[in-house]
Amino acid sequence: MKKTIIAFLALATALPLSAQNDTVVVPPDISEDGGLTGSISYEGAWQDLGIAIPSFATNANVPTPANTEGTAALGRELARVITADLRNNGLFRPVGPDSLPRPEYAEITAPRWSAWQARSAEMLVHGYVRAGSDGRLTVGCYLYDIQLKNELVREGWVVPPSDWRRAAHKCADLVYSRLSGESPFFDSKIAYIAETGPKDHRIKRLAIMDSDGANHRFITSGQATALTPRYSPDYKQIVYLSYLKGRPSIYIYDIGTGKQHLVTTSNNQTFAPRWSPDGKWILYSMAVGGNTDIYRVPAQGGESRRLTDSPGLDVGGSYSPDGSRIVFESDRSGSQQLYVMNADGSNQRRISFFGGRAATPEWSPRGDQIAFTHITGNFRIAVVDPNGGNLRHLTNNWQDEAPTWAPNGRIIQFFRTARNSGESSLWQVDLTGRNERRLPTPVGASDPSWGPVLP
Amino acid sequence: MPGSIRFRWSQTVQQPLNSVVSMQIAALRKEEKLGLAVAFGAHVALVAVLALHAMRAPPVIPMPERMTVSLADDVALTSTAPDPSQDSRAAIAPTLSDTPAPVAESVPDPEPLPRITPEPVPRPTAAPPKPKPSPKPQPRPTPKPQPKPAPKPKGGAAQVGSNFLEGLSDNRTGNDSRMPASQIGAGVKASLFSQIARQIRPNWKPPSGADADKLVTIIKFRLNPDGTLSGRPQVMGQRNVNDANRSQAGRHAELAVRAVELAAPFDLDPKYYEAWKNVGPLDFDWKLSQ
Repeated sequence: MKKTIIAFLALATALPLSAQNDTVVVPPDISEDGGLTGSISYEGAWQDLGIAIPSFATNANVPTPANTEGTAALGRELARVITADLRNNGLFRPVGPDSLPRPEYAEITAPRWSAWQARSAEMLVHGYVRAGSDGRLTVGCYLYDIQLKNELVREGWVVPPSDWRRAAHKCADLVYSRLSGESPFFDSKIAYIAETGPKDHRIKRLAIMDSDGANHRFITSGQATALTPRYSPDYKQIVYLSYLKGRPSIYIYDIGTGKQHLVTTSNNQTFAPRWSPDGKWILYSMAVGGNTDIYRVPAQGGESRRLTDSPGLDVGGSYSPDGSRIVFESDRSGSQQLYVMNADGSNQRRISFFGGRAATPEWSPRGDQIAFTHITGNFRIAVVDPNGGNLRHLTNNWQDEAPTWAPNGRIIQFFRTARNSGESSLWQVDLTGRNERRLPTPVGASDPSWGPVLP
Repeated sequence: MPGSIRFRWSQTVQQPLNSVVSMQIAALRKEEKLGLAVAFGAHVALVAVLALHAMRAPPVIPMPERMTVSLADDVALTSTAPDPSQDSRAAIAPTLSDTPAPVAESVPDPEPLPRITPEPVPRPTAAPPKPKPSPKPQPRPTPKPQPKPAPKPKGGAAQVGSNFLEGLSDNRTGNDSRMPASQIGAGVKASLFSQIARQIRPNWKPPSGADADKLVTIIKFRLNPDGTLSGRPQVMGQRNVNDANRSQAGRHAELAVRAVELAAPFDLDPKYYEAWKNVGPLDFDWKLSQ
């Protein structure tokens, strides 16, 4: 009896010790094939992956419309664009061409491993640019694992000289998707509302730009205030709300032709137009006699049908990717909360029960998450699953609002209003919430909508 | 005068009390006095004994030595040794024949033959215990019953044992005196594994992403005797893959394989090659710091 007690005591004292030692290595067990088994854990937070991006090489420095100094200088610009793309998304620590040796053309397919291993980078991006006889550019992109000394992925593109930045974005996409597992998104366009002028008399124009802020252009003139643009599911059109002399209208702008057509117009307050996943319908909200409800109208124009009928404010419907359900915001319980209903307006139920107010819900293109603005003192971007569980805050700032999803369903963009100046800017955050990135815009910006990843 | 009044009062109260006590002692009978004396004496004796006992040093209760208990769930079913050998040299007992060899009787020649049996080798029955190379004590090195010396024919010092036909160990020439056993013990395996883990861990870095820290990739691989990889590590499976981290799962597995490839060749004791030639299933995961 005594012995067992003492043995038990020895065990009890030995246990915490062994628990401390075993946080990393679980003692091996005999597996069925007799091998050594156990587990190996990475500990601590994520560390950025070092990527070396030296200048792209060229076989012959020839003049090109893309760069006045020829293809050699263009190769350096390509590497700079890739470096800027990969910077600030929290995954990588890219080192650009300005601080790296320039590789020879022959080294692109056979890197000098010893030279690169001496640097701290783990990955290496090599590439070349060649000018064809017709003036078109051939850009090749290679991703190498420096430590393993092997090639991870390669791809090449033939682009007209005016699209040379797209070739760089494609290469950045290749590196990003290969190393993160996510879908690419750099070679895409973003529609947003460009804001200029004083605070009380803002001019709001619809504008489109590349994902890195280049190739910026305005689409509307600014005579009418433009609001809440949204790309269509096929990314060929943009629906937006236009206020001309106080009268709201919903327009669809065709990116290919540059023309736009009117969907619906009303004397009543109208807001938040959104596409259905099949592109046939537009959801919008309209205040009639103090009661705001969600309506549905064919994208080609026609009769509107009311989907909600509760007294109070029902706004901002967003379809699930399969088109069967709609998430929207309603204050029927006293404060703004998230509700889900079937696409025909039936079976309305509340999903947000986590305190504070919840506004501007957006269903992820993957269907697994709903992004919204969580208002608890400050405005934060947050995500929940479609049943309202698993709340996660992605940002914590003074005022972050209007989240929309990147096509890959992994990045959310939103606009952030500075506390004192009221200046607004576009930001991106990934689903871990760790990686925030400001999108450069030439003027103040709000209401971003992410366009397609270009083919 | 209030003072004189109080004095008088106390006088009258104390007087009867004193008289009661003296009266009670005086009223005790003889046997009661005797009993009182005996009880007093006994109490004094008891105090004296206790005081004497307390002054002595307390008896030392020998504490059993603290033992380490390792919970191994794989004992006794298979024999283990630090360096298992399936074909150890058979132990030969120095049997002296006390009866004449039967061979001698069958020979018709009456003349006693010169002794053909060689002198029994004066080998010790048990091989000298080899210093155990394992730093950890074996939990239970059960000697395997299999290669025990076959029963000798009594009187015969023949070198061909009865185990000849059964194919049991008849190895009398080799110098392989290791402990016969079929497996390497759990303690050795634990230290081999921690050596492998030590080499892999600096190279293991999982991908980032939502819920990517929940992913677990299970890897196995084979090693050559020089510690290099024999073929590519194989992914046996993954755990905790969900909608959020599905896009990272492939990269997670790839990075686990990469960690093993970068860690190779492994610096392991070739003596234990049998124990480390197969590694896996090995879990690769991510523990966020608390």
